[in-house]
Amino acid sequence: MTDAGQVLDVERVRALFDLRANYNALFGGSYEDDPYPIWADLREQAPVHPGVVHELTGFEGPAFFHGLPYPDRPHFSAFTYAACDSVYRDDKIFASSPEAIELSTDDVSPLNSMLSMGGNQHRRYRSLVQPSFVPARAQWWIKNWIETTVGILIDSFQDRGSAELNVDFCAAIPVLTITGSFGVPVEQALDIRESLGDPSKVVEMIKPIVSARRESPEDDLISILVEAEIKDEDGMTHRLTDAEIYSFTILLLTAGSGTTWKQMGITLAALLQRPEMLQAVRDDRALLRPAIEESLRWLPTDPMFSRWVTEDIDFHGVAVPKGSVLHICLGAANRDPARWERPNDFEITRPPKPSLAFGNGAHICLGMHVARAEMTVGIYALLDRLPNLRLDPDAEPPRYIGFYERGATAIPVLFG
Amino acid sequence: MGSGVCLVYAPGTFAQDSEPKAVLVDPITDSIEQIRVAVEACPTGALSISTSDEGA
Repeated sequence: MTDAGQVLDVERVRALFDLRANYNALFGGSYEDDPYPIWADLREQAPVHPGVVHELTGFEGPAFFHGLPYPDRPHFSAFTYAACDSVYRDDKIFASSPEAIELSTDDVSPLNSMLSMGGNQHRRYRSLVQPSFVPARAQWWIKNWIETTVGILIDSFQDRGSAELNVDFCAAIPVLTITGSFGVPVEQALDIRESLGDPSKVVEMIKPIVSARRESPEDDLISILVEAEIKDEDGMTHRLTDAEIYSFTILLLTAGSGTTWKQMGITLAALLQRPEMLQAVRDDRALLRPAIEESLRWLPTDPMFSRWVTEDIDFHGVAVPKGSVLHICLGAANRDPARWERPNDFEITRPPKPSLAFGNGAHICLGMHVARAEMTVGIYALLDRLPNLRLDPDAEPPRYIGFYERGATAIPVLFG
Repeated sequence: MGSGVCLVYAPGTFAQDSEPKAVLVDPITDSIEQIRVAVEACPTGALSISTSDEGA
């Protein structure tokens, strides 16, 4: 990858990852307020409210995300930690899709994947890929892809004395890590990023790799997928079809590139805006992991996910009919004072305790340990290689924007 | 399902085998509080703590 890395066109990276363009209006990108005071009021009033999160927050949109818009269904939103956690943990009553998923179709899209499956079907597919995403596998990701990517990116601006970390750094790491794990060369990784809105184009680029790995496996994720075996309900063993592999690659790209990018930016911005905290992390690198966990709790990039209710229920005193969409406002749950003291404060010395940033239950984020590794290796390297790293006092300071995909505007820094 | 969440909160207690199922390490080096957090964190509720007087 080092040779390929040298052809990484940083100008093109910048154009492709233009933050304003990426904050797609569809996901509530025009939202620039702070939703947390309103979420605190909603959470205090009741654990569960009729309605959708952005409208309850006073934002008219447009804002679409998981579980939206489904105008023909009743909508409810949960705001306390206890309510959100119990939704995540019960995938029988709270299903991950409005109807069953059939992967044998040629409809390759992020939702036509295990993201939307339930029960045994989900368990079978997840168990195929889970071994590649466990903590013990983090070093495989780091050594093969993350470290090289991080190194090349810092090389590109180290001599300048200044950088815009959100685009020049955070944006590129996850997508290059994922495409690297597919065996896609760096110059083509940017083509893939460009084509994310059109899965058929991505499939065209992945197709030759899948057939090459079926012939002769290498040390990468596609090779693992082509060799993986799955047992169906009758006990028959199958290998993943090409369509199933394409679905999974699209899911990984969609779920894993924008999220880790924005969360790394949120973590960096939060630390840079608190110089004494950044200094503490610089002096004691063991504080970096808790700082990342705190950023995940304090400002998770995706503050809402949804489930489909499979039977009539009374949920925290609210009658929720079968067929409703239940929105989990995990952003609000992550600041529930019933679970955290001073929940609005960004504190990196809290006792470790899981938040809902990666979800929970059977669908908990598959990539969470890889995301943690990307953020840890990336920020660690910045602190190692850029002495006196600080926000540029003459530039506009970072702000957090977006509704269903939140992140920092820009992170202009000086160093040296 | 082998999410590996317990290893985040109690890496001195849990490891994963090749399946990857959670297994206990020996010796356990985490505090009981860390272990409690890890057990509570298990996304599928697959972990529990049972107390016994044996061998304590």
